[in-house]
Amino acid sequence: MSEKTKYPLRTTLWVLIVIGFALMELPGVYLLNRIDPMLFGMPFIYSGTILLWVVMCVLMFIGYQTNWGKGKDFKDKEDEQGGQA
Amino acid sequence: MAIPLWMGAVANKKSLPTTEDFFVQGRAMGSLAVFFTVAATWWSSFAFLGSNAYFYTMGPVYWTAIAWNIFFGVLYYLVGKRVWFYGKKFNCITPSDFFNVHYKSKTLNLIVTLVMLLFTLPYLQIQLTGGAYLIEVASQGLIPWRIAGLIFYAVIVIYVWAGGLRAVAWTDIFYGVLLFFGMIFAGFYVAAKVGGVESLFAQLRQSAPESLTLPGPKGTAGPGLWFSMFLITPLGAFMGPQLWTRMYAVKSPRLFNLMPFLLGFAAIAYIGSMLVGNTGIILEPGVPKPDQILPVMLFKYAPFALASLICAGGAAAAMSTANSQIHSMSAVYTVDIHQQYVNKNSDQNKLVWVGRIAILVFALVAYFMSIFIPGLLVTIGLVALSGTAQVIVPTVGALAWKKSTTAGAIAGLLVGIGVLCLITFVPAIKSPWGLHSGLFALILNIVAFVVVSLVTPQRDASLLAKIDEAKAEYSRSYS
Repeated sequence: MSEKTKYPLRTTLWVLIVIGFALMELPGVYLLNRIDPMLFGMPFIYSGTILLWVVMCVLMFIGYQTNWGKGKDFKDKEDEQGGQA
Repeated sequence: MAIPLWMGAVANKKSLPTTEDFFVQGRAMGSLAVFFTVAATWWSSFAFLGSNAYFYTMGPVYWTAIAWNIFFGVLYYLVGKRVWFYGKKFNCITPSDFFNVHYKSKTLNLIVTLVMLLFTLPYLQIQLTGGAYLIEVASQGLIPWRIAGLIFYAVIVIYVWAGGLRAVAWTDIFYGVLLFFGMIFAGFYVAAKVGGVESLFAQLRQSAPESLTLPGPKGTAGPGLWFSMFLITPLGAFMGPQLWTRMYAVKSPRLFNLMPFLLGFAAIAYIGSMLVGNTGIILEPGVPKPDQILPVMLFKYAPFALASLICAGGAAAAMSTANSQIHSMSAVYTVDIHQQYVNKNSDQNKLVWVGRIAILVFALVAYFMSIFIPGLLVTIGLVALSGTAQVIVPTVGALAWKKSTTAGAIAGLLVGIGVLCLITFVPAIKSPWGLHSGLFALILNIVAFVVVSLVTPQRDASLLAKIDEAKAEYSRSYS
């Protein structure tokens, strides 16, 4: 069984992360690069990036919680043996 | 400055006279220490002072730092965890040990070592310059920055000399906390002087709208630079010897899973620099050294005690990065140059001493560079990072592409570094599409690496079998 079919969450997570980076960088910077709409009192290039940062932080946290798609029960070798994160 | 000296002394009592303890803390660095030591090493003068100067003079281009911080964390998980695994399995201490496992080539090891040593020097230089600027402003010009740089130099050398990586890690926890809160607080504090965030941008919209979008007031910092900095900065920092050493030092692999979140979350500290730089456009236009905009604003508009405390955060940023760089450069020199080419039979005690003398010498070279090579901190920093970033190609090649060859790795690095030097030192040659020279060099590095790898003989079959076995163990045992 390939990694893709074995761990579907892993694939979804990475696809979302790549989309997030594309929105923050290329081609997203062309959409972000404007003053209006002003959100939180800031030009859109600043506030839009902050909104994307929130989404990306949530994705990173889900990644950590799910062992990056391998599931909550998966344990890295040393941690299985009682190491600490 | 007294705190790191005290921590260095305590750490010295705990250390063992071996290279493994001095350089990678016996591979037992706890998670909290690793996160703060990485964050504090990552937030340098480049971030604390240089970022303000970029927002102040170049428009919003530095805001791409929010994305590059997340990318930096992702690199930790994708590449760092594997580097840690190979480091542990094959007992690596320096970056070139990793390449020795994968390519078994003395020439490649030497090239990687030289790239890391040479291109870390300008990055070390900007830490000394940044720290010296802070002392100069804080003393209201009483201590000129050249003397201030020497004071900085002395403090760093003393405590790294005394305690190795353990001293560096402990002081970084102290610095990391000070930095995170210092950066955010400074931003909101100075923005309040023009009526708060909303009022700040309403005023800028009227007086300097060009500062609010790319390519900024000078017209040179557009999407090309935005994207280049996003890739070059984290790749360059990640491939620097100071962060490489930290990958080996980690105790638990689970930390690598958490790093993308922690480092991504910490990115929000840049909101402070963004607010300081933009407020500076209104309150203090025309500061002659833009890298001093943060201390200039603080000492003029904030209470003295508060300004001093936040600037101590800036000094912390510079020092924590500088000490880590000096420390890792000494490790690289001792193990990869001295032990390989100067004296193969040195005992552990002698090697630790060689490392200490290397600390002294590298720091002195960087100090003289800070005096004789002028420029904005971020601009000089980007050249340094562009150099070390080239090493990512053979690294990822080794981890992910079986057809990678030694000749491909060497060709890629030579092309990348050659192009970078050409564009940096020959003003007539420009990088295309508004890209930074570092990214353009990286693209050509990848092309050379792939093409040469495809036409040269594969690595030794027994070497590939050993790597395959290790890869299988990694996929079985780690997420």
